[in-house]
Amino acid sequence: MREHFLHALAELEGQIRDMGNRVSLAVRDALWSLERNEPIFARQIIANDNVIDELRYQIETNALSVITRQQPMARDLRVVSMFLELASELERIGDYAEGIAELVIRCIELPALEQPPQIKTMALKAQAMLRDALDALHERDPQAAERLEHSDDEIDGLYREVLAWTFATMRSQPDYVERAMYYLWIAHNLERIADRTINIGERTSFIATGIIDKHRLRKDEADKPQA
Amino acid sequence: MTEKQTDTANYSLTVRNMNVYYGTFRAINNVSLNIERNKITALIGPSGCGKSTVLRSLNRMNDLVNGARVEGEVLFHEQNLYANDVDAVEVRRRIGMVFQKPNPFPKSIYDNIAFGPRINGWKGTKSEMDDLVERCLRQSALWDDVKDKLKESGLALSGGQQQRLCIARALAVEPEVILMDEPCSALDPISTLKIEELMMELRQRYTIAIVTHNMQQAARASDYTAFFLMNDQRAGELVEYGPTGDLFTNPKDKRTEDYITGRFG
Repeated sequence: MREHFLHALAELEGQIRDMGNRVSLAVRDALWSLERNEPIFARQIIANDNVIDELRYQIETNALSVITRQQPMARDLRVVSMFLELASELERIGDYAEGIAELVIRCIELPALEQPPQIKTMALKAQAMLRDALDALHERDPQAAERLEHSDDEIDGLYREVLAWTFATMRSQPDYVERAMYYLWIAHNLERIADRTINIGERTSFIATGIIDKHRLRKDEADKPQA
Repeated sequence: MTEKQTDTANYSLTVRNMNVYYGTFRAINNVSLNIERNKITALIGPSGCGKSTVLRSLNRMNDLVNGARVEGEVLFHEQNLYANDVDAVEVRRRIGMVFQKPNPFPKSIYDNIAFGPRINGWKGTKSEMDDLVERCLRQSALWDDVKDKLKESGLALSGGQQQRLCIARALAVEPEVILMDEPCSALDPISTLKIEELMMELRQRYTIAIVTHNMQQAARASDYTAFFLMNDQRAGELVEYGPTGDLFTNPKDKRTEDYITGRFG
């Protein structure tokens, strides 16, 4: 029964999976270019971001078409409506990867300055969170949000350390103000990636259970870093 | 469910442990259900699941079917409608019904509405009857369409208008509850939406229970939804009942989910 509908749902799921993979690669490459100060990769990420943006619009178009023509109900409706949200979350994560790539390119022109070690830790954690969130989405694992939240707390802590490092560096080594500032922005992008992965976890949990965890949404607001 | 059953104040009708038989065949198995006052309750389910039987049992319409027998209670103002001393005609006056196919009397629009009050011993003046007819036609959103042709036959109206005339006719005897048995299945989409809008207006003064095959209609136009299914003995059972928004976004029962998502054969 409803073969066309199930086919359309599977196609949407495939597009989300494709978009997740592309975004995941963009983040990985951005971090790779950051680690090696490598502008070629960075330029590639910036060029590829168009593909991610395009996928987002395709997913939106297809999801709206499924809603209009198939009138999904219950879990199906949750899946389709959450795919709309997820396309937007993934697109933003892609933008953060692109942002990191742009900062890497800007840094190359500037006098060398060692990164604060927290950035590498943040990068590894954010990447792992994204992978976890995407796996959880495809497995419809309702526990992911909770798990991701723990990692996010750590990332927020690391971000605050980078912020302190930036202020200290700007004061003590004025020649490196720009580079220190760019490192802070990179850390900010990583922190935002982590936040977005939690959103993916929450949407997944809603797909699986039908319950919107308002408590967690409120907690998110309260925990937002002030910087 | 248990908590709801102890508090009948918010309910127009309370069904308790209802079994309905047609001869020896059990058509409905142990249904308990509260119909909320001033709300629209939709009864949905596949063909043969007993939703129309349940609806017709709410105003003793099944008494008219040979061999039909109802066990259990239907409480209306604390009174069991199936108690021996209850007058079925009075039950049907206070709990009105609108059917699938619009069925105006072959009379004028005016007389279609005046008919019910008259056979119930109307004692008012002509001008009071005029007012009643106008009020009912206004409440059923038909007044503007027909005010200049009240003496014309009800059968000359379009299908959607005829159905609204039947609703106006039901309102004329001042019921508390209106039962609707697939009231839109013979209507075009625009007439259907008009009836749905009308139901939402009427809900302020009346309680409405509607059987519909159209799930989107239940989702659009009802406050509560009850999902029925046949059991292995082909008797209808209530599977799930709750606020319409909940039932259509996050049904508790796998069978409900399968039915409303179209994965049910």
